[in-house]
Amino acid sequence: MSKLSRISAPQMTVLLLASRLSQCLLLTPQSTAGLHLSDRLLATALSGLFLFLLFCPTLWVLRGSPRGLVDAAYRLSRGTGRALCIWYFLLCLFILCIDIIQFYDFAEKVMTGTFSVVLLTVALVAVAFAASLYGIQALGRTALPVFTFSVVCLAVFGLALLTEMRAVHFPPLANQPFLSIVKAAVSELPRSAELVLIGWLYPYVNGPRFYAVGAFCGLTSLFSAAVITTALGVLGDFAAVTAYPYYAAVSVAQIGVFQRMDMLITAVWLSTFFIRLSLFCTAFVNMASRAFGPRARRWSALLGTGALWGFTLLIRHNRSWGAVTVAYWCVLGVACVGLPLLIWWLKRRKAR
Amino acid sequence: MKRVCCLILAVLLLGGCRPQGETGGQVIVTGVGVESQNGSFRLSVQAIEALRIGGSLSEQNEPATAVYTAEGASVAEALQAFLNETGKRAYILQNQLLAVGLEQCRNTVLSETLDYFMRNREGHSQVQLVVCRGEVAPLLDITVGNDAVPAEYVSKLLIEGERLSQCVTAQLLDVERDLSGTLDAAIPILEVRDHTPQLSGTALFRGGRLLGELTNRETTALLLAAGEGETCLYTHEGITYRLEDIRSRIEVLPLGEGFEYRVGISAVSRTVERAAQSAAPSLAAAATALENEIGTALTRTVRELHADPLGLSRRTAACYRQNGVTQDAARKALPNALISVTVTLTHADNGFMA
Repeated sequence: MSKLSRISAPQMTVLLLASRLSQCLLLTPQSTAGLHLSDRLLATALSGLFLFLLFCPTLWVLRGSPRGLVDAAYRLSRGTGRALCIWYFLLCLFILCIDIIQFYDFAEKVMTGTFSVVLLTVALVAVAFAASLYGIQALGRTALPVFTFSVVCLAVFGLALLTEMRAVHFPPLANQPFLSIVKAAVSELPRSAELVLIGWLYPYVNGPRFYAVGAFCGLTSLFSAAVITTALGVLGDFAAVTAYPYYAAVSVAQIGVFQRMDMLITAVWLSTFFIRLSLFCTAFVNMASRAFGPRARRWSALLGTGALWGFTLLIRHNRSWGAVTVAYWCVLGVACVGLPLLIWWLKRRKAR
Repeated sequence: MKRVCCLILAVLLLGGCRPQGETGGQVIVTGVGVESQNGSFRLSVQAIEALRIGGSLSEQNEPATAVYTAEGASVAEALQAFLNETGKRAYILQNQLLAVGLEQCRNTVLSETLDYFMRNREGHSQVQLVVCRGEVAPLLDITVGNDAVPAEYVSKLLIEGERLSQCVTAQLLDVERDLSGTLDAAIPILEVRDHTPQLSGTALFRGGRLLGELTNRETTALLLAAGEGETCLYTHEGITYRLEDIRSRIEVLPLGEGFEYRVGISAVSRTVERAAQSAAPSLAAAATALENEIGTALTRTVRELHADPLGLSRRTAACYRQNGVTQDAARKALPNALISVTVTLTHADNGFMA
């Protein structure tokens, strides 16, 4: 592995966080599993813990080894390695597809202007795939300014909205039974789809990966809590009936003569979303080249772009978020628990 | 990465690729009034015509804005009629004021009247909302000089009024909060006398339905209880005090089957004017008078109007959740609640020794 294709552990945390932020900002009442947003705060804290637990099997299987899951599979047999690459390949395509539909939904419902949403989607996918050809290090470096910009904007929005927040808007915490909060914490997990890439990303990272992932899990909860607190404090119960509460809350923020902060939140969201798309595109292209040879890099990028456009335009009006959530849980279970344990078992059997 | 940056820039600039409306083909809406007219919506649109303005606003020879009227079965249809009549598209991104006729509020639910503006993403959630006593069009056509926009003048009047505890301010967001059951909406009432807008109390809404009106003095009392005003002038027995650093605290206590609400208000008081024949200033007497006034206003709001703009029921549900008290149950019990007000005024010297 060349030096240029590696990133440091803090870079990985920032990359994953920048990608996850796009999901944090896309807070929707539908994703609360019937829970009030105030209880969602508790669920968010709990989901950070669950996230870390989900990562543990991968960490345990890869302990003391510089290789990732794909390398470990290739060492078992070429067929196993290729099968795993194709699994990741399809997985990335699935997640990208859902992300693009989410983007389409957001742009269509919220963004004002007379531009073509389809054209914007097509261009975004093309740019993300083009960026993926530059490798993981380029992406890691790009993520830092994007993440810094996003965090600064979140802080500015929070401060600007302090005057709009009322204590009376917050219902009491733990209003629901604990089981409902656990259920909501579990339903929050699919939003951290970056976790499925840890097994692939592992060998590209220098430094303490364990702490990097721990920081990602903790900070993810923190950012989600900040977004929920802002939306709830400003909107009250209205947060439960508006499509994108954080966006609705930020659109009323103003600092001096600066108004219409919704433009800024759209910019933050687009930039973090670009990082998310590029991360999955990079994994997609990398898996294609490992399964089908280095020449597959470029054609897989073209194929991926075409496939995404096709899928997205075909199913954008026929999606079912319930089915998507179930599919995400299955994918997370297989990628974070099933696959690492299977590879560990195969390794053990081969060693005997 | 340079190429990637260029591509990102191209994506961000894509919005500019499509033809936009011609500047002369649209009017920039600065204020909108909605009222009922023979069962349909009558829309008054205060707008700046881009081609009428040359140079800065201060160089205008005639008012920068004009008021157009249009009618339709809905607000959207009335706007369409406006387009058909004037040949210009209404650009509402710069809208600063939304005025609804008091009669319209009495006859139609607020959510129905304002639905178009709540759904329209171009309309700003922070647009100032007022209820207009009498016809709406005169409010949008007030005389404020050629270099000012009437809607902006009204908007500033309301903001300053709230700072001085003279009136409440309300935005579209407050109606949205009211409709979701968070807090009852309190919207300022304005009326036009001699081409001048004047504060005329507060309209209280629940679920978009008009519950009743508060007078200007009751509005001040409500603002003091909520601790929202920055400063307030209060005259008692010929002495005018300026209250500053106003803070309020609401305690909820169980009282038999219902609840008692203890509103504690503290403020720093400065004597700003004293009539020659008035007695020696007594802060304690002023505080007692203020307590009575606020208590009467709150009791009337809760008992007569059945309104809860302070979110008392929400506070009750938060405090007594373990006892199974919900916001709805607390709201039902509110008219029987006991409200006691305590005002603590601290004297501050303003340097005038006489």
